[in-house]
Amino acid sequence: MKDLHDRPFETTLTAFSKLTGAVASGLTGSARPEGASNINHGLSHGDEYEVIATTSQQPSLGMSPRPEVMRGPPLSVEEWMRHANDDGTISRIESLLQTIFRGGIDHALRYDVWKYLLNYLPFRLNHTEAAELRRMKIKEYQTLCQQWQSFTPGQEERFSLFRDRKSLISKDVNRTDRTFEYFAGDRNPHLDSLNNILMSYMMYNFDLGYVQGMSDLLSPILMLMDNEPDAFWCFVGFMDRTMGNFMMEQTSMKEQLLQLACLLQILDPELANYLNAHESGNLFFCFRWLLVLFKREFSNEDIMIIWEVFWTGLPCPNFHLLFCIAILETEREQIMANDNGLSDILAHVNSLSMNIDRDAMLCKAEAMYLQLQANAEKLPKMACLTLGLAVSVDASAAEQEERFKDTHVTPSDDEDDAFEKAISYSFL
Amino acid sequence: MSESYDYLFKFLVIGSAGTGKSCLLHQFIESKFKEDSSHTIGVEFGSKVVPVSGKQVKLQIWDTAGQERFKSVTRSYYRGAAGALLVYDVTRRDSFNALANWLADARSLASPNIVVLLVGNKSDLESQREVTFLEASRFAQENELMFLETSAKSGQNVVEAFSKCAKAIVTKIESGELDPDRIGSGIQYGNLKPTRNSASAATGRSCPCKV
Repeated sequence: MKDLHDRPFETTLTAFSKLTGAVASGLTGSARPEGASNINHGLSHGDEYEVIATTSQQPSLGMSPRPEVMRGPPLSVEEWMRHANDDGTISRIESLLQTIFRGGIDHALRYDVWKYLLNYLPFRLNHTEAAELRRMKIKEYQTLCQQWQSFTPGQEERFSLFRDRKSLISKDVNRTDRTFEYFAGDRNPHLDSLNNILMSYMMYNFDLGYVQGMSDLLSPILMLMDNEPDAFWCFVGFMDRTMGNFMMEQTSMKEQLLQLACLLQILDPELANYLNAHESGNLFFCFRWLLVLFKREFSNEDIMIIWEVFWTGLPCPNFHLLFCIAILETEREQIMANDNGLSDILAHVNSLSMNIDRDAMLCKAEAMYLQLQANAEKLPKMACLTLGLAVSVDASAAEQEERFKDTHVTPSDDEDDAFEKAISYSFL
Repeated sequence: MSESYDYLFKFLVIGSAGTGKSCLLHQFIESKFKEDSSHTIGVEFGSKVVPVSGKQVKLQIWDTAGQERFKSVTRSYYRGAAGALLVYDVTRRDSFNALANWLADARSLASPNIVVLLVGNKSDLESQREVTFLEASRFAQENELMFLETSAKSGQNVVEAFSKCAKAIVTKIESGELDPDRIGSGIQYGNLKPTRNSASAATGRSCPCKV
């Protein structure tokens, strides 16, 4: 009773969650037609998808089925040569990106192609311009290095922000991918490179500084580039895309979690409802996936391909969110087994690390996109905006939108509590 | 899933980045030091059943990322914790200076009654020590915390830290100071026959006690 007095929101929410959970399990237990237990095997087939939609007690969007999609071969040296002109410029970028999206990049080419994908080198530069740009970038990197290296001990003493960041970088450098041969052992010079690049990035972008997770994003880049200036500028390109994840207010992380919840509600309402009823509707257990773009969940070989695919920007913005849902949907039976609660769900999701089928998830995520794209007129506005689909002015979509809005509250201010409440409320 | 226990306690491991929180948890659960362990992103989870004052107690332990920036996520796991290890690094003064903030968060977000044990980790690095046992003891006393110095590396006092905190909770339950049936107490009854014979214990017993 004291609890209800102290924290009326949380207490009520917990009680309400239990209630909705009971109602939901009662409904699915009795109303689920035969064959529905194979739900996660047959999700690419439209008729079974219909089954899910109707048993989940959510507004059925009545979407047409998911198409089958396949992965392709990686970008080969031969194909790359067909895109690379004699003067060094790269042409037919769209088809190049298509190939990378479909199959990744032959490892022998990564050293060159990543510089383009990460906006270090623009595709339009010829050999001379690229060499000149690289020369300037190497010089700029050296300037940044000199800046942090030239702080006097007294300066550091009076500059706690710098000192704290330096100390955290040195801590994290010593515990980033140390199981990889490249970073193994004491006094490994690659650890110094990792440190130097992160220190220089702190000077390059002092407003952002150093935030945990950055060293995870840098490590595969450094291993590939194997030299500080190139790795630094590729890292800058990567950070330009993912900087939001590390910002002070965590607005981007919160927005992604909301978008993820919205997409999950459409693609797997039964799972979304289950999570809501088990204190997990905020999807915080996906935080690590999002923050370091699955770096902790896959082998280095896998993560290079996954990132390449993401960097193409195909087939839509926020493709990584569909990749999240592909994993969640694959694991749905495990997640919902044994009436799993908050802790079991987190433990299960964390334990998936190094046990996720990369290509199957990429295919599933793409199939989800194609399905949503084909049914865009039926989707709520938030989903369309997230995936870059044209927002329909169609009446039925507007109606869906209204129905969606009934249960969906967007955070009205940036306070954490307000966010948590909003995200918990939104899908109850 | 078939483990037997009398109680289940929700525990937190909190404190600044790089103080050895994950290594303490790993040492406690696996009885070995985790070499090459990565810094925690978000929250990790582990559990273990330990004997405490003749009871079997299952500790459900939430290990959180230490960097300030991720507090909005990590703090969401504080709710309803019965106990916490508040960790600093004896070789780093800044991690000791940050304790008051961590403690305030734990008390306001988990529960004002949360049982907290202060842990000065890395006691094996004596030559690099920046925080003395005495001043930490004083901080513990002023803030009504239990206190131990540990080494996740050697294993010294690690099991003791978790057990001591759990024992204090059991004592508080038995004395009636803590009510396990209060929502958000961070305590659940397990599948063994509870020894407490109040009427309210019966309702507690019917909960699924899932971990």
